[in-house]
Amino acid sequence: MPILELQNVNKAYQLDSQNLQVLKNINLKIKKGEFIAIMGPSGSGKSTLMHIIGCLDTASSGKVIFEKQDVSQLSEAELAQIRNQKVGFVFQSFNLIPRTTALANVELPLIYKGLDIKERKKQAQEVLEKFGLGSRIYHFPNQLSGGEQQRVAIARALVTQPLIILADEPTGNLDSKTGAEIIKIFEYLNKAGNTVILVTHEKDIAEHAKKIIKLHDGQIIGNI
Amino acid sequence: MMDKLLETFKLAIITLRANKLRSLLTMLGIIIGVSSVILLISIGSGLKIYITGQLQGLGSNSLYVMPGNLELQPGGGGSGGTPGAGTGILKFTLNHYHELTQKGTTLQAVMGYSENNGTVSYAGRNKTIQVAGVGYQYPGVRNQYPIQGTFFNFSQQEAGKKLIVLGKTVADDLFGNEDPVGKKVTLVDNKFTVVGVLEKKGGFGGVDMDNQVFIPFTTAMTTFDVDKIQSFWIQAKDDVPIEEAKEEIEKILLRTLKEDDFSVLDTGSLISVIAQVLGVLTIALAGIAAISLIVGGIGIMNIMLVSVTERTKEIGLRKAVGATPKIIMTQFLIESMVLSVTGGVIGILLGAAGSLAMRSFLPTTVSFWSVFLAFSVSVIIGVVFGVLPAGRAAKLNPIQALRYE
Repeated sequence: MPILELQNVNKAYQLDSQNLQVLKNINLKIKKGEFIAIMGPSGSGKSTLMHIIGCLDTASSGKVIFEKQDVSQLSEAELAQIRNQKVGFVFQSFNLIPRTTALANVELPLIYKGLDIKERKKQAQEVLEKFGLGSRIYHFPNQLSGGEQQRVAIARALVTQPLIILADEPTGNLDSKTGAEIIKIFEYLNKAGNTVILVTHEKDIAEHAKKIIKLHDGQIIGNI
Repeated sequence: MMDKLLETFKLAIITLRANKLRSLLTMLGIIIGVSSVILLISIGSGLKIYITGQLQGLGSNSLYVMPGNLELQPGGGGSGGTPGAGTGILKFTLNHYHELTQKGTTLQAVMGYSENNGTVSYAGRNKTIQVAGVGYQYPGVRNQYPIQGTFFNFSQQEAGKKLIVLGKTVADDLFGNEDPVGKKVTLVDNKFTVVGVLEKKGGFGGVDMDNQVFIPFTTAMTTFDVDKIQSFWIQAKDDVPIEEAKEEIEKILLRTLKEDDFSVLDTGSLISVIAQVLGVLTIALAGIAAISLIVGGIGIMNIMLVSVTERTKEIGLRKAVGATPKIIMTQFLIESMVLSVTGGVIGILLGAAGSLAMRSFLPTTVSFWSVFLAFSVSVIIGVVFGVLPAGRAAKLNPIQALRYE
């Protein structure tokens, strides 16, 4: 029983009266506990695929099924709710909110989830401590190193206990040593039972995953 | 829901505090607008209270006969609906004065009244001030008596003697410690004998009521070379209804004058005329001040648009972790409302402080409704001028927003 299934997903953009087919007939099943890397050169559609999986974008045709629920035709507000509860994003540039403490950054998804202040502070603090940031919870992003910032971002993705964690080039802005540490965290999370999808163009990063999906011109060309 | 709103509110405070100077400058328009509206309304109402009080102090049996049609028609419009219309043409002669004095059975005191400016000099000292031509009954009517010497009497007035009574300020300035009574001063090339000094009556709104001199109105006519009397100040008998006295005055004057030539105002109608003029003035001034509120609102909108652009990436991230368009909309609306309401509150405080500082001149009051009005206007400005930027933020495409650099 897959937690996420893509059936014949197509994505096309209308660009200057030219029809741009970004994704072509994507069929994909993701089971609980998988660790998948999506690889491909730039322009291959891997970002678009990630956006559709993460409910940031909707498919032009086909179905995206999250735990039996077809989300391909939901409204923006409904998609926001899915993103809040079922997806945890980690971005290349960390995307922490400036002038806001690490704790408040991690609390953010819980605010939108509607948790009361005590509960969400407790949960956010727990996750941060788990990533060794217990002494940094009141630091602002500009007081943290790149690796620490990305760990805060991972804590933020994880705090809602999402169905899948989507990481878009999470090591792209880090040096190789720190990048390796971050990849280790994803491996650890996967071992603990989390479903992780990693989007990358670096082969040695992708090799940490248990399964690699290769994209080319909007089509899946390899499934290792 | 309340929790979320509180959270959004806190967030707005944090964001605005992070840009203190910018927030303050943005609020400046609202602060200036609100404080000037509050201050002007409080000055207007203070002026009204003061003048009403002064006029009521004259007693309810005072009547004023002025040239021109001053009657205010209810609802405005009609001929002479504007107060002061036609006041330029003087119509009253000494004949009218004598008729009113002799035939007015309901009248206790009839005074001719005129105001002119003149230079009074004594021993090389000069003062250019208001010269009031009044009747000998002035001290009793005005309830202001000489502290030195006397006022001129009936026969001196009828004879048009060159006598002068000084206000306290004038006496102090021209004579210092010297006793002015019996001394001669010069006014418009004429020598006047000082007969008395009036007690202090106090000033208002920076105008010193003791900074004037009084001469018989008959003397004023010859001194300033006019054959008309500017107006009459009449006191009705105590046991006569004011309306009756008014009708009698009109009857007497209508024998030689037309209805549009003059108006008889009692204290009550004078108060209502002045109150109406002040009311219109206050609203007009406050209205002009309110324009700066619109300017302030545009300033807020401008900064909010900048803020939305600056925080595009943050908005994208918020959307990615589950913020709905409605939540983003609320966030920016609350931010613009916090800006405008904070500005409004500062403006109210400044306006109230200014009004308090005016207390030494005027009985200014900051009315509840002007504060309420200013506050609601700032809330409305926050909403109205926040909608466009907030809507823009809410509509941002999360993917493009996340990629924004």
